[in-house]
Amino acid sequence: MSRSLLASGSLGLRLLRREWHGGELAVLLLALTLAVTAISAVGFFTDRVGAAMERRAAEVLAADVVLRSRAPLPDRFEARAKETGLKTAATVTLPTVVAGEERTQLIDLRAVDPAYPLRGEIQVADAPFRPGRPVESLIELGEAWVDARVLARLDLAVGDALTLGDHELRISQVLAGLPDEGIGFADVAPAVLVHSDELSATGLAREGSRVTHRLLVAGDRAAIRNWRQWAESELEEGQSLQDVSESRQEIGAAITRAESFLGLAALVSVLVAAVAVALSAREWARRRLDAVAVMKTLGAGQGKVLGLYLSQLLSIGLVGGGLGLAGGWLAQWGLVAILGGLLGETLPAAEPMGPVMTGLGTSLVLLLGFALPPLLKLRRTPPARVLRRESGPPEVGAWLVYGLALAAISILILSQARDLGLALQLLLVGGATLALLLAGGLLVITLVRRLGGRFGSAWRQGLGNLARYPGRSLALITAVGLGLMVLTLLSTVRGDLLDGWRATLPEDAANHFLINIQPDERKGVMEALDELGARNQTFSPLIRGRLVAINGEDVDDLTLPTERGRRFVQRDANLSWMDTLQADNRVVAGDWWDGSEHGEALVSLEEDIAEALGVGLGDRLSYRIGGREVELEISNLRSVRWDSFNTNFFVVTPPGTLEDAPLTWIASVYLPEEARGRLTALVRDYPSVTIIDVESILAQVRQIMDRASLAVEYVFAFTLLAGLIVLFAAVQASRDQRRFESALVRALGGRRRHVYATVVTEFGSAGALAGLLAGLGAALGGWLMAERVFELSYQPPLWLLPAVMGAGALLLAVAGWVASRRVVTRSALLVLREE
Amino acid sequence: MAESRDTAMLRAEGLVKQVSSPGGPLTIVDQVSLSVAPGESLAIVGASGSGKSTLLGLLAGLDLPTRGRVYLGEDCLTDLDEDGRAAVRARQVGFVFQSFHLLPGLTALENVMLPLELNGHPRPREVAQAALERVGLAARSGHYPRQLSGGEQQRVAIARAYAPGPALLFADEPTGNLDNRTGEKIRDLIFDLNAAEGTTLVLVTHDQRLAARCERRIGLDDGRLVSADEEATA
Ligand SMILES: Nc1ncnc2c1ncn2[C@@H]1O[C@H](COP(=O)(O)OP(=O)(O)O)[C@@H](O)[C@H]1O
Ligand SMILES: [Mg+2]
Repeated sequence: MSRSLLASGSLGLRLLRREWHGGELAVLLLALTLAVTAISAVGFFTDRVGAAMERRAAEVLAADVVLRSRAPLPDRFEARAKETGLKTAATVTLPTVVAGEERTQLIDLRAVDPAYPLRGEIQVADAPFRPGRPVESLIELGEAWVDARVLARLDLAVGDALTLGDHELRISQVLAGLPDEGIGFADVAPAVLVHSDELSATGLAREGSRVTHRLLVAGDRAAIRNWRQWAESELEEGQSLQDVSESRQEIGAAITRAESFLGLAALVSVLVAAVAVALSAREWARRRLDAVAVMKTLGAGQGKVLGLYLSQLLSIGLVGGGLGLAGGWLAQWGLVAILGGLLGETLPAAEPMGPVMTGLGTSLVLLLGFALPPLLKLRRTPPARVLRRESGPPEVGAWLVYGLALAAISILILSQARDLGLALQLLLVGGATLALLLAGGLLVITLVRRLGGRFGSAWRQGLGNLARYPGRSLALITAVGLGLMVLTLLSTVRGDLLDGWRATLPEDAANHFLINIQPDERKGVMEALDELGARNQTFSPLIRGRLVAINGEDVDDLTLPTERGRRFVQRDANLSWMDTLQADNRVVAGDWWDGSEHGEALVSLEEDIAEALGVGLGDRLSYRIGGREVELEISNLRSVRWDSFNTNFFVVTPPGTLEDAPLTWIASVYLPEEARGRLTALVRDYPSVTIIDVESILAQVRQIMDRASLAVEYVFAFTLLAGLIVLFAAVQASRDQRRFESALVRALGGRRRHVYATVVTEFGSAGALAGLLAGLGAALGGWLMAERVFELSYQPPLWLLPAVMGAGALLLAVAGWVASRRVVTRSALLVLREE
Repeated sequence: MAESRDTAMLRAEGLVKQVSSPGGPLTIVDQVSLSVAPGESLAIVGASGSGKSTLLGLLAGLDLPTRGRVYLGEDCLTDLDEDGRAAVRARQVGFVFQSFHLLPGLTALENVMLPLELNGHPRPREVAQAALERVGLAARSGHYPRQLSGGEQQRVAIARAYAPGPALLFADEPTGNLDNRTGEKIRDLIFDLNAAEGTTLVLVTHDQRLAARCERRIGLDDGRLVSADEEATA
C-alpha cells in the first residue's frame, strides 16, 4: 500500500511537470508563495524586534542575567560564563550615608568593574538636571561619578572632593542615569559610582553592612540560556538569579501595538491568499476531471488518484513555502529598514526556526484547508465520465468544505494573532461577511431568475449568466467579496486608526513624573511647577501596600496561575484612589463607582493583573497598608492604555476609602524644554522628591507610531498583491466556459460589443454586490478593531459602502472585460472546434 | 454458442440500468444478457441513443447496473467496489473511445506510458515506444495531442490501449469522429492488432463496416437486445 502510494506520488510529480501549462497551478503557487512571504517577513521581523525588546528590557538589569548574593560570589560562575563566550562584570553595592557641610544624604554606593554596564548606558550631564548623554570614558581609580540629586542636595560640583568612609575621591562626572537604577515609582537612593578596586579603601564594606554582590552576564541568546540553566542548578543558599523583567511599559505597549498591526496585516494577506488558493484549487480540480476519469478507466483506484494529486499539492506547498520563506527573509529587511532603527542598536539576528515552521505550516494549512476539498471531490470522479461527459463527481459535503476552511482559518488566526479575543471576533466578522455574501448572492440569483425577462438583451444575458451558473457566481461573489472586505478593513485601519492612535499623544503629553511628594509638600510643588511653566499637571495619591490575602486566604498558601501574578504579590503594590475614570482607562467588566459609593471598601483592578492573579468581579483582596489590613472587593476591571503617558495604577479605590493610609503624591506634568534646567531649585527645596524624565521615551513612542504606519503600508502591499491574485483566479475560473459561450454567441451572429456588454454586466453586478456586502463587513470589522486593538472609538465613514461597492463593480467589470478580450478576439470557429 | 462458465471472457446476466429523470425512472439498458468467449470479437450495434455506451460502461465496470451481474474472467465486477473494478481493468482491460480521451498535457509517448506507469510497469518507456511503433507513430512520440490529427490521436489511443497487453479491449465508436478514409485505417489497425494479440474485442458502433468485421454482432434497440439483422433493417 505505502509502496504503491509512493509510486503514485512519484508519478504525480512527473505529471506535475508535464501538466504545468494550465496556469491554475501557477496561480496556486503564487498565492502560497505570497502568503508565506508576508507571514514570514513579519515573523522574522517580530522575532528580531522581540529579541531587541528583550535586550532593551535587559538594560533595566544592565545585563541579560544577574546573579546576586549577600556573600561574595564563588569564581566558578564567572569562569563558566567566560568559557562560553559571555561577557561579565561584577558589582558590589551598599547603602551608605555621605555628609555635606550642612546636610547628609543616603546614597547607593556602587563599586563596579569598568565593563559595567553590559546592557544600556551610563548617562552623564554637564551639570545637574541638564540633558544627559552617554558617557564616553571608563571609570578610573580615584574617581566618583555622582548622581545629580546628591550634588544638588549637598551643594557639590564636579571637581569637588567626596568623602566615603575613610577615603576621599574626586567627583568627575554628574550621573544623569544608570540603566539599572530602578524603574517604576520605586523610591531608590541616588547612586555614587566608584571603581571596584576602591571599595576596600573606603572601609565601608564591613561585617554587618548591607552589601550586595552581583555578577552581571550578557551575550548570545543561546549561550545565555545555557548558562542560566547551568547556574540555576548551581545556586546555593542566599544566591538568586534575576532575569530580564518587563521592559518599560510605554514602549512595550507601543511596540506590541505596532507588532499586532503588522501581524494582522500579514494575516490578512494570508487570508486573501487563501481565497486565491481556494479558487485556483477548485479550477485545478475541475480541469483534471477528464484526466481522472481516463486514469480510472485505465485501472487507477481512488487511492492512487489521491496519492498522485496529493503529492502534487504537497510539493507545490513545499515549493511555495520555500519560495515564500526566501521572499520573507528578503522582505524583512524592508521592515528592518523602516522600523529597525527605533530600537537603537542593530537588531539581533532572527532565530529562524520559528518563522520557518510558521511559513511552511501556513503553506500546508492553506493547502489542506482550501485545496483538499476539491481534491477529495476529484478523487470521486466516476470513470463513466469517459462515456458521458456530463457525469461528474458527487459534491463533497458542505460541512467538509466549510469545516476544513474554517479549521484552516482558525489555525492561522489563532497561531498568528496575539490577542485571542480579537482573533475570535475577527473570525466572527469574517464568518458574518461570508454568510452575508452567500445569502446576498443567492438572493440576487433567485431574484434575477424571477425578474430575468425585464432587462435589455445584453443586460439580460449578463445577469442571466449570474443566475445560470450559481456555483460559479457564488464563488466569484464570495471570493471577491472576502478579498474586498479585508482590503477595505486594512485600508481604513491604516488611515483612520493609525491617525487616531497618534492623536492620543498630544504635543503636551506628560514628559516628567515627580514621585515621593509628601502630603504637606503638594501645594508647594504645584506652585513651583506652575512657576516653571509646566502644563497638564495631574496629581495622584500613591499608597504602598502589600497584597496579603485573596478572599481571606493567605497569598503564600495560594498557587497563583501565572509567574507574573507570583511576582506581583512579592512586591509592594502602588494603590491610588480616583473619582472619575481617566480617559485612557476603560471599564471592561463591572461598573465604575458613583458618588454614593465613595468611601466603600471597593477596588478597581487592571484586567491583565486580574488575569495574572486569577481573580474577577466580587473577589476580595486584602492589602496590608502601613501596618493595617484592608479588605477590598473588586467592583470593576479596567483596561489601561499604557502608552498614554499618564500616571496609571493597577489598583484603584474610590475616594475616601484609603484616606487615612500613609501616602505620598505622584505628579505627571509637561515641562517645556527651557524649564528643565531650572529644576535644581525644586530638587533642593523638596529633597525627597524624585523627578523622572520620560521625554526620550515619549519621543521613542511617537517615532514608533509614525514608523508603524509606514511598516503596515509595506505589508499592505503584499495584501494588495494577494488581492490581485484573487481577481485573476476568479476570472480565470470561468474562462473555458466563457470562451465557449462567447464563441457560440458570435457564431450565432452576436457582435463583439454584445459579448463585452454581457461580460461587463455579469462581472460588474457580481462586483457591486460583493463590494456592498464587503463594505458592511469591513465597517463592522473596523469598528471592532478600533475597540479592541486601539481602544479608540471609531465611526466607519459614510462613503465606505458606496465606495467599496463602486470599486468592486469597477474592478470586476474591468477584469472581466480584459479577460474576455482574449476570448473575443480569437476565431469563434477555432474555439468551437477545440471544445 | 453455449460457452461454459469458465471459458467465457465476459459474461453479463440480466443487466438493467435505470436512471431517474424529471419524467420518472428511465430504463436505458433493459434485461441484457450476453457472453463473449476469449479471443472472440463482438459488435454491439444500434442507433444513437439506444444505450450502447451505457451498456459498454456496465460491461467494463465503469458504472454499476441497477440489476444484473457482470463477470470478467474470474471476477464478478458487480460484486466489487470501484477500486476493485479498477484493479480488474488494470490487469485485463484496454479502451478506445470515440473522442480519443488523450490527456492534453502529455505527449503521445507519455499518454501511451500512462496506463503502464499507473500500474507500476517496470519499463513503461520502452513498451510505450514499441506500441507507438506498431501504430506507425514512432516519429510523433514527442508531439502533444493538439499537434496530431484526429486519426493520429486515435492511433495513439489504440497504442495506449494495447500497450499493457490487455486480454479484453472495449471500443466505443472508435471511428465515430473520423472521416471514412481515416476510419478505414483505424478499422484495419484495430483488427490487425486484435488478430496479432489474440485480444477479446467488444466494440459498440453504428458503423456497419466496422461491425461487419467482427465475428459476432448483436443489436441494441432502446436498451434491449435484438438480433443484429433486425437492428440493421430498423
Ligand atoms: N446517467 C444518465 N442520466 C440520464 N440519462 C442518461 C444517463 N446515461 C445515459 N442516459 C441517456 O440514455 C440514452 C442512451 O445513452 P447512450 O448509452 O449514450 O446511447 P448510445 O451510446 O447508444 O448513443 C441517451 O438518451 C442518454 O441521454
Ligand atoms: Mg455512445
